[in-house]
Amino acid sequence: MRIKRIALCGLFTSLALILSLVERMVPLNLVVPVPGIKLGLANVVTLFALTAMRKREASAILLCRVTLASIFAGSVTSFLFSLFGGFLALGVMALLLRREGRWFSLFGISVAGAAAHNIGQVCAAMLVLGTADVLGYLPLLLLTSIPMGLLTGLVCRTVLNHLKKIDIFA
Amino acid sequence: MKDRLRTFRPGDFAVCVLVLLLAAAVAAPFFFVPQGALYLEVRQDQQLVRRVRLADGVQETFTVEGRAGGHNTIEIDGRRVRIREADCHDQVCVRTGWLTRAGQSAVCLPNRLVVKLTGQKASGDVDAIVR
Repeated sequence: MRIKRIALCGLFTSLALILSLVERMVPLNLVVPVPGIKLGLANVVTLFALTAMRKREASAILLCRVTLASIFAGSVTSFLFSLFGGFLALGVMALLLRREGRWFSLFGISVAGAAAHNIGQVCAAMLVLGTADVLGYLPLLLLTSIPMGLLTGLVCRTVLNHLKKIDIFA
Repeated sequence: MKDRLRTFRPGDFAVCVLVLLLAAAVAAPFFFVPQGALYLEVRQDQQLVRRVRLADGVQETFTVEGRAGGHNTIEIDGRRVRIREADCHDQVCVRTGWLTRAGQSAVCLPNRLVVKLTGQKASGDVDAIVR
Protein backbone atom coordinates (compact mmCIF):
# COMPACT_ATOMS: atom_id res chain seq x y z
CA MET A 1 0.00 0.00 0.00
CA ARG A 2 2.80 2.35 0.93
CA ILE A 3 4.47 1.86 -2.41
CA LYS A 4 1.23 2.54 -4.20
CA ARG A 5 0.83 5.86 -2.39
CA ILE A 6 4.38 6.90 -3.23
CA ALA A 7 3.73 6.03 -6.86
CA LEU A 8 0.53 8.09 -6.77
CA CYS A 9 2.45 11.04 -5.32
CA GLY A 10 4.94 10.76 -8.16
CA LEU A 11 2.13 10.53 -10.67
CA PHE A 12 0.46 13.70 -9.40
CA THR A 13 3.78 15.53 -9.14
CA SER A 14 4.43 14.87 -12.81
CA LEU A 15 0.88 15.87 -13.65
CA ALA A 16 1.31 19.16 -11.76
CA LEU A 17 4.63 19.75 -13.55
CA ILE A 18 3.06 19.23 -16.95
CA LEU A 19 0.21 21.57 -16.05
CA SER A 20 2.61 24.28 -14.89
CA LEU A 21 4.53 23.92 -18.17
CA VAL A 22 1.31 24.06 -20.17
CA GLU A 23 0.10 27.21 -18.42
CA ARG A 24 3.44 28.82 -19.26
CA MET A 25 2.41 28.59 -22.91
CA VAL A 26 -0.78 30.59 -22.33
CA PRO A 27 0.21 34.24 -22.77
CA LEU A 28 -2.25 35.50 -20.19
CA ASN A 29 -0.21 38.65 -19.52
CA LEU A 30 -1.14 39.86 -22.99
CA VAL A 31 -4.73 40.19 -21.78
CA VAL A 32 -3.94 41.41 -18.29
CA PRO A 33 -0.54 43.12 -18.26
CA VAL A 34 0.56 42.02 -14.81
CA PRO A 35 3.74 40.04 -14.17
CA GLY A 36 3.21 36.76 -12.38
CA ILE A 37 -0.31 36.19 -13.64
CA LYS A 38 -1.13 32.53 -14.23
CA LEU A 39 -4.06 30.28 -14.94
CA GLY A 40 -3.32 28.33 -11.80
CA LEU A 41 -3.75 24.95 -13.46
CA ALA A 42 -1.15 23.37 -11.21
CA ASN A 43 -3.32 24.42 -8.29
CA VAL A 44 -5.88 21.89 -9.48
CA VAL A 45 -3.49 19.14 -8.44
CA THR A 46 -2.97 20.68 -5.00
CA LEU A 47 -6.72 20.94 -4.43
CA PHE A 48 -7.26 17.45 -5.75
CA ALA A 49 -4.51 16.01 -3.58
CA LEU A 50 -5.95 17.78 -0.55
CA THR A 51 -9.40 16.32 -1.13
CA ALA A 52 -8.43 12.81 -2.16
CA MET A 53 -5.12 12.24 -0.36
CA ARG A 54 -3.44 13.15 2.91
CA LYS A 55 -2.26 16.67 3.73
CA ARG A 56 1.32 15.45 4.04
CA GLU A 57 1.15 13.94 0.58
CA ALA A 58 -0.36 17.10 -0.88
CA SER A 59 2.46 19.15 0.67
CA ALA A 60 5.09 16.77 -0.69
CA ILE A 61 3.60 16.96 -4.18
CA LEU A 62 3.52 20.76 -3.99
CA LEU A 63 7.12 21.01 -2.80
CA CYS A 64 8.36 18.67 -5.53
CA ARG A 65 6.36 20.47 -8.20
CA VAL A 66 7.59 23.95 -7.22
CA THR A 67 11.20 22.81 -6.95
CA LEU A 68 11.25 20.90 -10.22
CA ALA A 69 9.32 23.58 -12.14
CA SER A 70 11.90 26.16 -11.03
CA ILE A 71 14.75 23.91 -12.10
CA PHE A 72 13.23 23.31 -15.52
CA ALA A 73 12.18 26.87 -16.23
CA GLY A 74 12.64 29.55 -13.67
CA SER A 75 14.98 31.14 -11.21
CA VAL A 76 15.66 31.23 -7.49
CA THR A 77 13.31 34.18 -7.12
CA SER A 78 10.50 32.51 -9.04
CA PHE A 79 11.04 29.46 -6.82
CA LEU A 80 10.56 31.58 -3.71
CA PHE A 81 7.45 33.27 -5.11
CA SER A 82 5.85 29.95 -6.04
CA LEU A 83 6.83 28.36 -2.74
CA PHE A 84 5.28 31.16 -0.67
CA GLY A 85 2.17 31.33 -2.83
CA GLY A 86 1.81 27.58 -3.12
CA PHE A 87 1.98 26.82 0.57
CA LEU A 88 -0.24 29.73 1.57
CA ALA A 89 -2.81 28.45 -0.94
CA LEU A 90 -2.45 24.90 0.39
CA GLY A 91 -2.92 26.06 3.97
CA VAL A 92 -6.01 28.14 3.21
CA MET A 93 -7.61 25.42 1.10
CA ALA A 94 -6.89 22.74 3.73
CA LEU A 95 -8.58 24.95 6.32
CA LEU A 96 -11.67 25.59 4.21
CA LEU A 97 -11.93 21.94 3.13
CA ARG A 98 -12.91 21.03 6.69
CA ARG A 99 -16.16 22.86 6.05
CA GLU A 100 -16.65 21.56 2.54
CA GLY A 101 -20.21 20.63 1.65
CA ARG A 102 -21.93 22.68 4.32
CA TRP A 103 -20.31 26.10 4.02
CA PHE A 104 -18.12 25.89 0.97
CA SER A 105 -18.02 24.02 -2.30
CA LEU A 106 -14.85 23.30 -4.24
CA PHE A 107 -15.48 26.52 -6.17
CA GLY A 108 -15.19 28.82 -3.19
CA ILE A 109 -12.26 26.85 -1.80
CA SER A 110 -10.48 27.07 -5.13
CA VAL A 111 -11.06 30.83 -5.38
CA ALA A 112 -9.72 31.27 -1.86
CA GLY A 113 -6.68 29.18 -2.80
CA ALA A 114 -6.04 31.23 -5.93
CA ALA A 115 -6.32 34.47 -3.95
CA ALA A 116 -4.02 33.11 -1.24
CA HIS A 117 -1.51 32.07 -3.90
CA ASN A 118 -1.41 35.59 -5.29
CA ILE A 119 -1.12 37.15 -1.83
CA GLY A 120 1.75 34.83 -0.91
CA GLN A 121 3.45 35.50 -4.21
CA VAL A 122 3.26 39.28 -3.80
CA CYS A 123 4.41 39.04 -0.17
CA ALA A 124 7.43 36.99 -1.28
CA ALA A 125 8.13 39.56 -3.99
CA MET A 126 8.00 42.37 -1.43
CA LEU A 127 10.43 40.51 0.82
CA VAL A 128 12.84 39.60 -1.96
CA LEU A 129 12.80 42.97 -3.70
CA GLY A 130 12.55 44.97 -0.49
CA THR A 131 9.93 47.29 -1.91
CA ALA A 132 6.19 47.73 -1.50
CA ASP A 133 5.83 48.77 -5.15
CA VAL A 134 4.77 45.28 -6.19
CA LEU A 135 1.72 45.61 -3.95
CA GLY A 136 0.22 47.63 -6.80
CA TYR A 137 -0.18 44.40 -8.77
CA LEU A 138 -2.17 42.68 -6.05
CA PRO A 139 -5.65 44.14 -6.74
CA LEU A 140 -5.63 43.00 -10.37
CA LEU A 141 -4.21 39.62 -9.39
CA LEU A 142 -6.95 39.22 -6.77
CA LEU A 143 -9.63 40.15 -9.29
CA THR A 144 -8.37 37.55 -11.75
CA SER A 145 -8.17 34.92 -9.00
CA ILE A 146 -11.98 34.77 -8.94
CA PRO A 147 -12.51 33.54 -12.55
CA MET A 148 -9.31 31.44 -12.40
CA GLY A 149 -10.38 29.90 -9.09
CA LEU A 150 -13.82 29.06 -10.47
CA LEU A 151 -12.15 27.43 -13.47
CA THR A 152 -9.79 25.28 -11.39
CA GLY A 153 -12.65 24.43 -9.02
CA LEU A 154 -14.71 23.20 -11.94
CA VAL A 155 -11.82 21.10 -13.24
CA CYS A 156 -11.20 19.61 -9.81
CA ARG A 157 -14.86 18.76 -9.23
CA THR A 158 -15.16 17.13 -12.65
CA VAL A 159 -12.04 15.06 -12.04
CA LEU A 160 -13.20 13.97 -8.59
CA ASN A 161 -16.63 12.93 -9.83
CA HIS A 162 -15.05 10.80 -12.51
CA LEU A 163 -12.32 9.28 -10.37
CA LYS A 164 -14.98 8.15 -7.90
CA LYS A 165 -15.92 5.45 -10.38
CA ILE A 166 -12.44 3.94 -10.46
CA ASP A 167 -11.22 3.76 -6.93
CA ILE A 168 -7.49 4.33 -7.36
CA PHE A 169 -6.99 5.05 -3.69
CA ALA A 170 -8.23 1.71 -2.46
CA MET B 1 -15.85 9.48 -1.56
CA LYS B 2 -18.45 12.21 -1.17
CA ASP B 3 -20.60 13.17 -4.07
CA ARG B 4 -19.63 16.60 -5.29
CA LEU B 5 -22.55 17.43 -7.50
CA ARG B 6 -23.85 20.09 -5.15
CA THR B 7 -22.45 23.41 -6.19
CA PHE B 8 -22.14 26.89 -4.77
CA ARG B 9 -22.55 26.98 -1.05
CA PRO B 10 -23.13 30.31 0.75
CA GLY B 11 -19.49 30.42 1.78
CA ASP B 12 -18.42 30.57 -1.86
CA PHE B 13 -20.05 33.94 -2.29
CA ALA B 14 -18.53 35.09 0.98
CA VAL B 15 -15.10 34.11 -0.34
CA CYS B 16 -15.65 36.03 -3.59
CA VAL B 17 -16.91 39.12 -1.76
CA LEU B 18 -13.96 38.94 0.62
CA VAL B 19 -11.50 38.73 -2.27
CA LEU B 20 -13.16 41.73 -3.95
CA LEU B 21 -13.07 43.74 -0.72
CA LEU B 22 -9.42 42.87 -0.21
CA ALA B 23 -8.61 43.92 -3.77
CA ALA B 24 -10.40 47.22 -3.21
CA ALA B 25 -8.65 47.74 0.13
CA VAL B 26 -5.21 47.20 -1.41
CA ALA B 27 -6.03 49.35 -4.42
CA ALA B 28 -7.51 52.25 -2.43
CA PRO B 29 -4.27 53.83 -1.16
CA PHE B 30 -2.92 53.98 -4.70
CA PHE B 31 -5.82 56.21 -5.73
CA PHE B 32 -5.68 58.55 -2.77
CA VAL B 33 -1.95 59.21 -2.76
CA PRO B 34 -1.43 62.97 -3.10
CA GLN B 35 0.08 63.60 -6.47
CA GLY B 36 3.41 65.36 -6.28
CA ALA B 37 5.65 66.32 -9.14
CA LEU B 38 5.75 63.66 -11.81
CA TYR B 39 8.60 63.09 -14.21
CA LEU B 40 8.79 61.03 -17.33
CA GLU B 41 12.06 59.24 -17.93
CA VAL B 42 12.84 57.59 -21.22
CA ARG B 43 15.81 55.28 -21.23
CA GLN B 44 17.36 53.38 -24.06
CA ASP B 45 20.07 50.82 -23.37
CA GLN B 46 19.86 52.19 -19.80
CA GLN B 47 20.95 55.61 -21.05
CA LEU B 48 18.64 58.47 -20.14
CA VAL B 49 17.29 59.80 -23.42
CA ARG B 50 14.74 62.28 -22.13
CA ARG B 51 13.41 63.55 -18.84
CA VAL B 52 10.23 65.59 -18.91
CA ARG B 53 8.31 67.15 -16.07
CA LEU B 54 4.66 66.30 -16.49
CA ALA B 55 1.99 68.88 -15.80
CA ASP B 56 -1.65 69.29 -16.67
CA GLY B 57 -2.25 70.57 -20.16
CA VAL B 58 1.09 69.50 -21.60
CA GLN B 59 0.64 67.60 -24.82
CA GLU B 60 3.49 66.17 -26.79
CA THR B 61 4.23 63.25 -29.00
CA PHE B 62 7.72 62.18 -29.95
CA THR B 63 9.45 59.19 -31.45
CA VAL B 64 12.53 57.43 -30.14
CA GLU B 65 14.60 55.58 -32.71
CA GLY B 66 16.20 52.36 -31.56
CA ARG B 67 19.67 51.14 -32.43
CA ALA B 68 18.43 48.34 -34.61
CA GLY B 69 16.13 50.62 -36.57
CA GLY B 70 13.04 50.11 -34.44
CA HIS B 71 11.04 53.00 -33.11
CA ASN B 72 8.57 53.80 -30.34
CA THR B 73 6.19 56.72 -30.38
CA ILE B 74 5.58 58.15 -26.94
CA GLU B 75 2.58 60.30 -26.18
CA ILE B 76 2.35 62.72 -23.28
CA ASP B 77 -1.11 63.90 -22.30
CA GLY B 78 -1.04 66.06 -19.21
CA ARG B 79 -0.03 63.86 -16.29
CA ARG B 80 -0.22 60.62 -18.18
CA VAL B 81 2.04 58.95 -20.69
CA ARG B 82 1.81 55.99 -22.98
CA ILE B 83 3.69 54.33 -25.78
CA ARG B 84 1.25 54.96 -28.57
CA GLU B 85 2.88 53.01 -31.29
CA ALA B 86 5.81 50.65 -31.74
CA ASP B 87 7.12 48.55 -34.59
CA CYS B 88 8.11 45.62 -32.43
CA HIS B 89 6.31 42.32 -32.92
CA ASP B 90 4.97 41.73 -29.42
CA GLN B 91 3.47 45.20 -28.73
CA VAL B 92 3.70 44.63 -25.00
CA CYS B 93 4.66 48.26 -24.39
CA VAL B 94 1.67 49.57 -26.34
CA ARG B 95 -0.70 47.19 -24.55
CA THR B 96 0.56 48.42 -21.19
CA GLY B 97 -1.55 51.51 -21.86
CA TRP B 98 -1.45 54.79 -19.99
CA LEU B 99 0.98 55.34 -17.15
CA THR B 100 -0.43 57.68 -14.53
CA ARG B 101 1.47 57.13 -11.28
CA ALA B 102 5.07 57.35 -10.15
CA GLY B 103 6.71 53.95 -10.32
CA GLN B 104 4.77 52.74 -13.32
CA SER B 105 6.70 51.81 -16.41
CA ALA B 106 6.25 50.52 -19.92
CA VAL B 107 9.01 48.45 -21.43
CA CYS B 108 9.85 47.59 -25.01
CA LEU B 109 12.39 44.81 -24.91
CA PRO B 110 13.00 44.53 -28.67
CA ASN B 111 13.99 48.22 -28.82
CA ARG B 112 15.56 48.17 -25.35
CA LEU B 113 13.41 51.07 -24.30
CA VAL B 114 12.07 51.82 -20.83
CA VAL B 115 9.50 54.54 -20.23
CA LYS B 116 9.05 55.27 -16.58
CA LEU B 117 7.24 57.72 -14.35
CA THR B 118 9.09 58.85 -11.26
CA GLY B 119 8.40 61.13 -8.36
CA GLN B 120 10.64 63.88 -7.07
CA LYS B 121 13.89 62.00 -6.69
CA ALA B 122 16.08 61.13 -9.63
CA SER B 123 15.79 57.42 -10.10
CA GLY B 124 19.05 55.61 -10.48
CA ASP B 125 17.84 52.49 -8.79
CA VAL B 126 16.72 49.47 -10.72
CA ASP B 127 13.01 48.90 -10.67
CA ALA B 128 11.57 45.55 -9.74
CA ILE B 129 11.39 42.84 -12.35
CA VAL B 130 8.96 40.12 -11.40
CA ARG B 131 8.78 36.93 -13.39
